[in-house]
Amino acid sequence: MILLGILGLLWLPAIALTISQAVKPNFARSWFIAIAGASLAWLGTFFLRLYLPMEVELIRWLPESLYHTAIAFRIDYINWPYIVAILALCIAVILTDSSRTSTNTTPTTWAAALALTGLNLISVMSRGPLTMAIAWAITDLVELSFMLNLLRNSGETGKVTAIYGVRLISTFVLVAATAVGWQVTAGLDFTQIPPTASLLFLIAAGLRLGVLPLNFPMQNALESRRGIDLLLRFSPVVSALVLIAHLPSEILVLNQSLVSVISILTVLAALYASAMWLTRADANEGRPYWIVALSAFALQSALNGEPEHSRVWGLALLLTGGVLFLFDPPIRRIRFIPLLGLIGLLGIPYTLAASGWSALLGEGVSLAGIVMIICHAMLVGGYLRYILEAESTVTGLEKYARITYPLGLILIIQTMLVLNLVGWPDVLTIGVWWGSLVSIGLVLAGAFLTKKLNLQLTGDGFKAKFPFYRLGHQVLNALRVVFSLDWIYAIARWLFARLSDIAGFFRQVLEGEAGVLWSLFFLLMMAILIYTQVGQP
Amino acid sequence: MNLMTTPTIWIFLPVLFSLLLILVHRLHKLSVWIACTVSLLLAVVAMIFPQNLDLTLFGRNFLFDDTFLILNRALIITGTGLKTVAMLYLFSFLWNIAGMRFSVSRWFPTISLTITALWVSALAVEPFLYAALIVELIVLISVVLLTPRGEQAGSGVMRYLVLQTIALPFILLSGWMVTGIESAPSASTLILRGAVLILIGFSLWLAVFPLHTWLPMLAEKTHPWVFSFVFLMQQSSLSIFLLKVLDQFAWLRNLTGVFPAMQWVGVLTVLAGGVLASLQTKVNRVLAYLILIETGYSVLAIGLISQGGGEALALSLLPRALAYLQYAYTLSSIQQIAPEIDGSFPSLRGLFTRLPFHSISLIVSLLSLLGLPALGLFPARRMLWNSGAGLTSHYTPLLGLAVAGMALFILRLMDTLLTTDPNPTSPTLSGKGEESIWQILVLCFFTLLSLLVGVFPHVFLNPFLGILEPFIHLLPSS
Amino acid sequence: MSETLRIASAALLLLAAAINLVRRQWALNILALGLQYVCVFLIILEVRSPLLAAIKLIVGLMVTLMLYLTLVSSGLIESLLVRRRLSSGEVFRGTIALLLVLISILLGPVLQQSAFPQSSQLLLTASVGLILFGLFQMGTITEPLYLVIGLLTFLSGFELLYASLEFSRVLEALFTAVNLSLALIGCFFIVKDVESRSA
Repeated sequence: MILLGILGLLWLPAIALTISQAVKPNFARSWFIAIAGASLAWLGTFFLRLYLPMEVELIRWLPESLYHTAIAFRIDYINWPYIVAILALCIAVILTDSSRTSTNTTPTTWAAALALTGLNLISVMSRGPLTMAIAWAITDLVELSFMLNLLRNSGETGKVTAIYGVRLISTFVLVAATAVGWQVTAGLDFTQIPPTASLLFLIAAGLRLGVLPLNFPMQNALESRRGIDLLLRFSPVVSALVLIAHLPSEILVLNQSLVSVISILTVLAALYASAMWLTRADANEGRPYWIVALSAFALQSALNGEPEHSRVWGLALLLTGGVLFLFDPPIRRIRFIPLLGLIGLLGIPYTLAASGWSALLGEGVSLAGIVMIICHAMLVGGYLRYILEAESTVTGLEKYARITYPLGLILIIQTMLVLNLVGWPDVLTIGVWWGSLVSIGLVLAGAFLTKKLNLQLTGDGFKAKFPFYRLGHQVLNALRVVFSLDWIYAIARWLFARLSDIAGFFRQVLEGEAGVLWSLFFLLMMAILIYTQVGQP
Repeated sequence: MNLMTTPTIWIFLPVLFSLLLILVHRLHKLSVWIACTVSLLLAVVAMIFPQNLDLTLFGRNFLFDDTFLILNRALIITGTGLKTVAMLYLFSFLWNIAGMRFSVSRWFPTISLTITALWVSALAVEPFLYAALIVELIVLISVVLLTPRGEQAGSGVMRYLVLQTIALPFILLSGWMVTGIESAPSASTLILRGAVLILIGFSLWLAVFPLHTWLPMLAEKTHPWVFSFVFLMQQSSLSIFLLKVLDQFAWLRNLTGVFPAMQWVGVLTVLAGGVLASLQTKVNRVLAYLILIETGYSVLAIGLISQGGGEALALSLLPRALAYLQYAYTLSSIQQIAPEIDGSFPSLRGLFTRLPFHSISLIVSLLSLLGLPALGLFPARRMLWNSGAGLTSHYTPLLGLAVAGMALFILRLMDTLLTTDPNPTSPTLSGKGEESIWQILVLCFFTLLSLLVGVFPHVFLNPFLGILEPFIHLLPSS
Repeated sequence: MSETLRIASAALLLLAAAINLVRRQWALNILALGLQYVCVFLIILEVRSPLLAAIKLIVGLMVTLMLYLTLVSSGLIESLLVRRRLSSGEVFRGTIALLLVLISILLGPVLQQSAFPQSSQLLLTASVGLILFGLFQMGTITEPLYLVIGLLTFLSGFELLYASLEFSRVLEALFTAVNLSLALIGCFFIVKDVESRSA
């Protein structure tokens, strides 16, 4: 009941906003409806915490013997923190959006934010892969319509195809994974995923996250400064992260070499994305890399046999990232607020991300672990850089925005702190303390060097002063070429053109004058085949 | 002669109405309304008719016979068979009512009703071999609709006629052989020959790969509305007819290798359809490949009958029809609004800016046929994919490739629809607001319906499981 | 009926089918089609009573007449007496026709032995010949008249074969309906073809 109430609190205001905007537009009333709906829903999630784990069956496809399916939700300690985080982000987006004079915020956007968050919750709360596949498909279609509507007048609609294409593939990989898992348990839910299917599930999630294979379909699209775009960007990511967190820990048992290959790809993706994150001009430009890097962290945690702990990196992606990306305009005076967001990323003992280190580093010290620590340091470094470079001194903020803007950011920080206390049992842990220590050490060393050499990562002086800059630049460029996947697209285009030529030739032959004779020939072949195959023991 | 029979209501009555429609065919609206009313009434009555055929109306009892005898041959529509009849008349109704605004042939209402009645009779006739000639008659009648107005008959329609006619001897000869087989069950050569003849006959009828070459040729020249109707009826009826044949003849269904052969034919047809669709640049031609893919899935479902394929087939009938309806409706509507659009990719470039709802509807209908979760065909597709994966590992990659091919086409089409030409040569693509509220509502309704069917299959699709009830030998549990 | 007459009918039947395959002269083709139906009638007498066999004859002649009248109304039909030299295509098709006759003669006994013991060799040769000629005709040309002639030839061949296997009044009625519908469709195609040519 509470669950349905939460969904109602998101969707009913969304409908109300759309209607009120069409009939009698009123900015203040709309804002109040939106904020009230989202806040109540957010508060409602804390009631859910009292009943965890809980299950709600929405629709059962009957007869059971035929479908083996129910569209059902399960809320447990894995997805509950995500639910809280998504709702916090939704509120924060509505609170901060009004301060962005550079963007055109309308009540319709808030309605979209509420609706999208509701849909997102459905996929996050899915009890099994089928519910999730259905939720993914619906969310993707809604997002597609929304994006098309957004971009309709900008003439950039073409980019949407690539974005939707990746989503479509990931949905079908999820369906394929379910089909494989179905062979072991009909109507399986997330607690019954067999190791045989787990790799496919991992790939489905990896695709959606843009990690496996590394792809940035969104690299040049939608990276605008609107809050709703942040929700659009995070929306496919959250459910994929939940899927990863639900994978069985025996993933390593299966096909060791394949797991190793995936692990290498994941580490490379993390390295590349975090290096790119560190070196972008601003946080907005680096957003896709932030997402990919932390998604790779989550994947690596699953590959190390601790998928459940991948949630801390997922939460860091959403919450810490959320604070930074919503810190726009980057007002110098309040930059201490996003700095607090680092609590969710650093992983120092007894903070939210502390339990993530053991999952990320695996057992013992390994090369992958070392690389991951470096990646973590680069992420932290980049985060600090974007905040410390904040120079804006906006004076024209509306009165209410002076309160709502920082309030939105503080709400996210608060969410982090609350989750740090009640997110899941044993959330307060020391974790692998030296992981964060080394990472912070690296950041400090980097900061020291930067200060000492008076370097600016994006400035020209950096090239001259930084040792091995040219080599690093070359490596990064080479990686960028490789990971852009343009070469794969070029090969695919070439193959497609050749295949089209061959098909064209056959079409000419089969649809030409002698087509019927060809059909008769095929008929004869079929008859022979059937005659020789059918009836044989 | 007893006229209180089910064939009188569902075969002779509509044929009589089609004769009446010939007289009024010039009054297009009137004939459409008559065809719609008759089809809907027949569909509803078939759906609610008591299974024991004992109808109580206004306090009086009418006991209907399920058999109509002509010259010692029978037309039999049992109470359990009425679900199929209802479905066929429902399709006829949908295509007549929704097609009212398109300038298809004046004969469409007449011929659609006749075709439906003939398909019902093909499924009802005993012995089954007579169906071969009825199917041939349907083909001959369909040709009139399939030939475009004001143009000469294309090679596609001729090839259709030729290959469907070639199927006739195979079915008739198999029917003759069946008599011998029934009396001599151990005659294995005879059984093998009979099986080969039946399977070849059905392969030609259903146009499975590689006997499908006429399908795209025909689709390119024919109005999508007519094409989708004719081949939806043919596909649905023939699938059920194949089930009937398998149910009737134990020697056929017990023959080793029959079902695996069907599975392979189905998988290869789906694969060919998917791969060939990915290479297309004309949306009209793609309709043919959609039909091919669906045929493949139907054959695969029958091949997997003991693994739940029958249920998958029954569950796919309505959503498939709705997806065809949506695709053909959208395409016809686009070509009605903008006659200069010939269905080729260059002519569709940037259409989204001009007809956004039509563009999205086109994509959604294709996604539904792809089997996207949450859309109409997903529940049935999922059953087949799961059954296929459970049976052998060979099918999964092939079906995966087929889905990938189809998905590639959808993405290519999407890219074409969304990408605006930077230097538009055609001023027609710059217009806006050409979609009327009614058109938008209809298109949204189709999408919503597809979503509802996909999310609540147990509500919308379970009644169609009743189609399997007559096949008690093939599906003992149904 | 004497054996000689039956053999002569079969030979004439195959000759008529061969003319339809080889020559592209409408009047001659229509005449050959009519002749084909007469020969089918004569051969079918082996298995059917004259009254029942006459149905096929009457239907066949009606079909021929329908096609003839359509061609006449199109105004494109040439006189039967017009003489044209054989084209290279006709020579090629003539060779194919000879080959098909040979195959039919060879297949007759084989089929009788393996599949249709109750049918006579002559009937099987004639029916297989017609089926093969029909198939070849349908497979090599898309002109409406020849396509319909091909289809009718193919069906005649099959009807001949089936007549020797089974008799059913419903089947006869349905075959009649199919033949007449096919002729109607043929006329429809021809009219459309002529209309589009003149447009």
